[in-house]
Amino acid sequence: MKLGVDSLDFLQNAVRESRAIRHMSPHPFRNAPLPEADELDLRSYRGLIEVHPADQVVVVRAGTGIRDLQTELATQGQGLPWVPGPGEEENLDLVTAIGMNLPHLGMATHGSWREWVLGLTVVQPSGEIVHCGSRAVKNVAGYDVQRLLVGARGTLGIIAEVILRTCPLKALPDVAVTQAAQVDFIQRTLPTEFPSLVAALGDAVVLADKAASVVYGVGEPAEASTGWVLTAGRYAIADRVQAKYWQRAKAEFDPSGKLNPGEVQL
Amino acid sequence: MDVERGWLAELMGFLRPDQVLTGAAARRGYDCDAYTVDRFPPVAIVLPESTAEVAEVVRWCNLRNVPFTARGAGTGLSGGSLPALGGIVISTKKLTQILEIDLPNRQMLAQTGIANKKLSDAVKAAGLHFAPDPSSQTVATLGGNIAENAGGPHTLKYGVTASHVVALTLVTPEGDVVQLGDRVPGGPGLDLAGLVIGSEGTLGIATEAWVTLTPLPNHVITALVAFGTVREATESVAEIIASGTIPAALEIMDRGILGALKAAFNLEYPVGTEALLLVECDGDSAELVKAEMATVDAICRSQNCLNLETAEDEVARQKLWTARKKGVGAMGRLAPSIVTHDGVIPRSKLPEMLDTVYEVASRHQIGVANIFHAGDGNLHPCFYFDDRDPDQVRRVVEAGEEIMRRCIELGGSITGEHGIGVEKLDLMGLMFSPADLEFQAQAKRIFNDGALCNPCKILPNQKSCVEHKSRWRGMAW
Ligand SMILES: Cc1cc2nc3c(=O)[nH]c(=O)nc-3n(C[C@H](O)[C@H](O)[C@H](O)COP(=O)(O)OP(=O)(O)OC[C@H]3O[C@@H](n4cnc5c(N)ncnc54)[C@H](O)[C@@H]3O)c2cc1C
Repeated sequence: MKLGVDSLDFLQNAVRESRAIRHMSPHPFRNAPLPEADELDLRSYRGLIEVHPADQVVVVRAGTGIRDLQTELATQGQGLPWVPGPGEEENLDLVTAIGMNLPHLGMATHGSWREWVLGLTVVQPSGEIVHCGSRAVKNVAGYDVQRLLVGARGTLGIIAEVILRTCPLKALPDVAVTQAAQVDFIQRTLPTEFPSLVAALGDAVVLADKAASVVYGVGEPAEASTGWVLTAGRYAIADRVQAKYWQRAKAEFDPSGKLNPGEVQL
Repeated sequence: MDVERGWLAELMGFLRPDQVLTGAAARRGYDCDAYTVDRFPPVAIVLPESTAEVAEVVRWCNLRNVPFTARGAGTGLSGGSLPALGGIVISTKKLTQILEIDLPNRQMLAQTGIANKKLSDAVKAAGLHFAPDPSSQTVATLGGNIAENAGGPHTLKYGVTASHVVALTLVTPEGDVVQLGDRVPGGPGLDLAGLVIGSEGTLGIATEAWVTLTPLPNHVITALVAFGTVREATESVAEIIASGTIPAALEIMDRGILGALKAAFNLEYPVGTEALLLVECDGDSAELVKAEMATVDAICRSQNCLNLETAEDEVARQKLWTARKKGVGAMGRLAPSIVTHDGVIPRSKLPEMLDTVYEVASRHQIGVANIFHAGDGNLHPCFYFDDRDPDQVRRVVEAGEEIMRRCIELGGSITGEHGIGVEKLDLMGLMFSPADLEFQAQAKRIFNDGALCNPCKILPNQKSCVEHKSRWRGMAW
């Protein structure tokens, strides 16, 4: 069943009643949806809830498109230091970008989601609505669960609302948005290994972000002794430690395996 | 059976005698950190020299069901390294090596017992530094910084510890050794290192970490601005932030601090000064740094500052920093006891919040001085009082709680850098609902589902802590 989410209440009820849920948008770096899961489309749960330009903080519904968010923020002299990589859907929704911890072209100077997400409202598989983090830019009260959910591919909870740190327009990254192009993988290495990575990839390089040592490419990534690759297909965890703790996290946060089943191969 | 004697023999089986301290003086020395209200002595302090030794101690603690607590320099301000249920304190005092410096990739691998400042000292000649700079940096350890996600005056521009530690070696609460994070950050997957950083030593003991090294800026201008009212200083901060300028540091000291500085060091500031604002702008382009400072200058003048002094060369700049660096120490002159609070508010609320702090202090008839990271909205109201007088102690506690409540009401936090420890256990319920706290408990259990690794910290109402609490809770409570 496909359901468009238009309120937190609706989302809560749908989550409570469903046995299996997929809730992130299609993206080239994700799997095809599994047939037996209900699909919750969060893209209709969108819009700004609070904007605090003087504090450089915004509270926004997680289905909001990033381009729409940028347009709204710009009217307040603010922006998110996100510069979409080649081939990236410009109005991708936050829940997908954050769930995948998607890289971008402003990373070298402005960091990424793990630095920008100050807090979250999350719907748990039971339907319970919980909060973590706060609107303060500096906060060490309790465990940083929000950091754990960035990149968790929606498997530990459904991100419904996000508190984001914003940036004054004049301090946004000075990087041009690239023309749309197809990209099959994103690969990052240590700076010292970057030149040989770019050489090894040759024509496969669509864009080389030297400042961040990140390559956007087509075809297959190259062997590298450092770093990581984000690529299409089922997300399989190679690292034994990651796999062990992801399993433990899953047992704590989603013991029935309801959220984004099949998203991650543990 | 003499349990403790039996323990010792076992510990000594894999550690040298000089790595196990059990004397009364040592146990007393480790019964609290720089938050001295709550105390409880450990049975023994161990001083491992490698990750393997830490792991061995932790596995032994699991075998014998003995609580254990990591400790760096003990400068924590919320009781994080207090061994709340006794047991063993695992000190990182002997884990102080720098293991690798990778200048081309601007990273360094170090053991976690090393003092924060030593990291920067080691790469200064290469024009680099470890950016987190807590005021305690000459002694506070990398491990303590990781556990508390420490910040400092330059956090405003450069970020907290979490932004500068990419990977770490962790001895888990069960005694396994795991590598978390990746030298190349930003990748897919769970940010396990990010969860451990800031978890106050409750998710295991970090023994080694890869940290990133940040280039020292080519140009730095420091300004010390005197204001006739605190409100003008806080309004200036809010305006500077709102203008889109991000200085490297924005720190405020109020009259209470200036009085202490005069008493301790005979430092004088312009007549009528009620607050000092320290601003530092830095960067690689001299023009941009000058332009930033010009914006700051214009804002401070429009807020009627009494005096604005700037400095560019190192010696003159350090002189302007004196008030900030010596302010906390100078407060020792004001009263026998000082409690330093740590709350955060959205920075536009600074003016309003400072008014509240003075109002609360005056209503409770206690002295207050403020020295804080204004740019981050991170307040440090310091109450000075006589802890021999129970009534004063009660008023200090009540005033502190009132201020924390107000921070939460304004959308802030009950701690910006000192952590929850045991000090703020009872305040967690003000900021988070029971369901939110259970959400955090789920995250904790990923690494720690037992009760041995630094028990009784961060989450209130932990099993076996509640009934034990009266043994370590100080008279203030
Ligand atoms: C004068 C003064 C100024 C200060 N200024 C600042 C400031 O500007 N900014 C700031 O953030 N803090 C500040 N602090 C607080 C304190 O210095 C920091 O929290 C610091 O990071 C603690 O380091 P430490 O080595 O002393 O840790 P400790 O106090 O020994 O321990 C702190 C916590 O870390 C845990 N821990 C220690 N080592 C490890 C390890 N290897 N693995 C896992 N857990 C570990 C302990 O269990 C405990 O929970 C200040 C303190 C003082 C006294």
